Amino acid sequence: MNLSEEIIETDVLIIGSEAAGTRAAIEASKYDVDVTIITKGRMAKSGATITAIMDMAIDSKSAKELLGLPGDTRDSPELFFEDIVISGGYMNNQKLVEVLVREAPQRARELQEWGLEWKRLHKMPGHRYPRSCMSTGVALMAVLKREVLKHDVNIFEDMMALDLLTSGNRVIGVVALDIKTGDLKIFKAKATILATGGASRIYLHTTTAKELTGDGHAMAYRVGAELVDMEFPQFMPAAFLWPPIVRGHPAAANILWSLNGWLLNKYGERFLARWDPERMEKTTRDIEARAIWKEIQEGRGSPRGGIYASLAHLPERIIRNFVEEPSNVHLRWAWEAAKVVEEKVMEVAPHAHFFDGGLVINEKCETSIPGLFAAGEVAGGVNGGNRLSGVAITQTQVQGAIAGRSAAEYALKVKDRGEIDKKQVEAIRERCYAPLERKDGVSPIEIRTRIQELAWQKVGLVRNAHDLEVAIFEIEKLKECIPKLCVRNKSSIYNLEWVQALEIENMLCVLEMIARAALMRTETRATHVREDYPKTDNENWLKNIIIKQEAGKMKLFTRPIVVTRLSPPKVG
Amino acid sequence: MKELSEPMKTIKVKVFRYDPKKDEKGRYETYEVPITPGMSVLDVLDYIYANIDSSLSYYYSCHRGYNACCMLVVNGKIIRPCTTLATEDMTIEPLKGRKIIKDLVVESDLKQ
Repeated sequence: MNLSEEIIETDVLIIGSEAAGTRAAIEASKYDVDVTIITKGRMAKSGATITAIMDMAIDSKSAKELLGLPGDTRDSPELFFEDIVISGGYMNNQKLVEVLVREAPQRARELQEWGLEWKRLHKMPGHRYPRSCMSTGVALMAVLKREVLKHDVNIFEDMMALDLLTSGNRVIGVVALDIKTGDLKIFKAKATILATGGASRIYLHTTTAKELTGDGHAMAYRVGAELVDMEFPQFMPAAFLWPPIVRGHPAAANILWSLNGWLLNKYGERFLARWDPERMEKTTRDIEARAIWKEIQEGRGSPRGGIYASLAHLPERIIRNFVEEPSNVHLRWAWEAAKVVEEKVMEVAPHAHFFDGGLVINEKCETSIPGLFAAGEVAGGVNGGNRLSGVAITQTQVQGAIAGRSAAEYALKVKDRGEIDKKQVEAIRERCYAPLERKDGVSPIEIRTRIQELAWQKVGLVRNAHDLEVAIFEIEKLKECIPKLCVRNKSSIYNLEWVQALEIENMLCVLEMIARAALMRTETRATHVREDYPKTDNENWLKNIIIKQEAGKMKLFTRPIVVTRLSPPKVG
Repeated sequence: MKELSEPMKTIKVKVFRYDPKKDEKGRYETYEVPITPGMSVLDVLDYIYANIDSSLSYYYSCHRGYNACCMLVVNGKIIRPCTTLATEDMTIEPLKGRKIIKDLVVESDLKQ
């Protein structure tokens, strides 16, 4: 075989370097296997984890008994399980939830042993008991990185996975672009774990880091893997929209909630009076999000497309004392920075925050494709249609450990590494270099913005059939731009425009999944809101939508929900 | 540093540039950037990248000050560009003491 690319052989390959990926690496390293991590960004300096404020949810009884936090012994893994499934609108794969609640306490405990300090225990919305062990994403990653570096793990940063390689029906590694040199590298692996996080960057407004463009979802889709619950992205109702320095920062919601702020439209009206006159801004998160969304969509928002979160009714001293409390240190700089523009009024909007859906996995974190495993946000099922606060980090730790173990055990059993298909590599190479070599065409920066605007306008927080059909039509048109993408700057070294060009196909793939699944689900459930089908339809829709590529087409079908202990409410 | 209060104003930004494939040594390029109050140094780099010169390389991720991933040197001082307000007359350079990969991107400090 005459491939010009460097081939790096490993037993367990992990794509993604943050909470799920590092946890998987630590676990796999306990076995007699060679472990490699590749990441588009840099370890502990990219991805979703570091932006977490952060809480890891475990049952309150274990929080008390195992971690020494002031937990409530009336709680149990069983009650935690129930709250997760109720929040998820019964869409959860209950087998995955059982594993999560069972293994979460041990994962939190071992983080403590590795040096992570759980500072407090909070009760978050949707949880019956205080279950959220509080720390920060940065502290968590410092601990996980230190643990990974104790093991003999090969780490390749600035390395963008482009496409998975297959031999027969199994995954045997990945082709990646070395962003630092512009060269392709082939990582040949016995087992491959996707830990690439979500895809919230397909939306114009998001709280997430820039890497989250759905690369893992799209790569897996292209080799025929199944995805589930893609119609359920989660939105944070009110993060900062302006000024730019705090754009996407969730501190706004926290300040608004803690200080009883008012949400005002452009007429100065407290519009929640029309939605929930009793509770007003203290309403539930879903009502708040929908109310804000409708104000903006119907033209009653700010010129920049947000609404106003006002503290103008409060004396300055109350606000100052609040932001100066030591436990509010993470809010202080955002508040101070926002004040540059206006005192006491924040401009906010809903922001894409988390992907509940993702790859179909079983309790061993195996996907539907042999040799391919998934952990963390890229994996669907555990959160159903709406994740509870704190479960994202729990998911990374529980599934990271399982995926690491399963992948290592699988790798030990694989005798034959499989043959690299030269044609696959050539096709990937051609697709990768085309936008760089093309002399003329469309700008990836422009197309990226068009995707994000389309996602926001038509596949956002409140949907209807017409908008979704328009979106699918527009997505098809945008797909025609992929073979015309042209990177204006031709340097092969650290070329951000080139990376963005390569992300476009992935972003469109994920957006299409959401739009098609959202159109198919003719009801309102969990985070999926259809204004043309405002009711939850338990008669017809107690099932998951599965997405899979077949003969080059995106195919959607339904599958019964997986129930172990908690039956959904009876129909009628 | 004086904070800007007037809406929309054009500032001059001097940015260190170096492409190891083309340049023998680093050079500086000056860009004119319209800024509004509340724009960070990183927002200025984003503006240059998206609207003036997409060949500018810089490392960032969360955009919100959670960690030190995007650290740079502005007017001789090490700062976090995502949480530092843009000012007039900025000279933006990469962190010192590490190998420059391109422009403002330096080698990762993973094992340090």
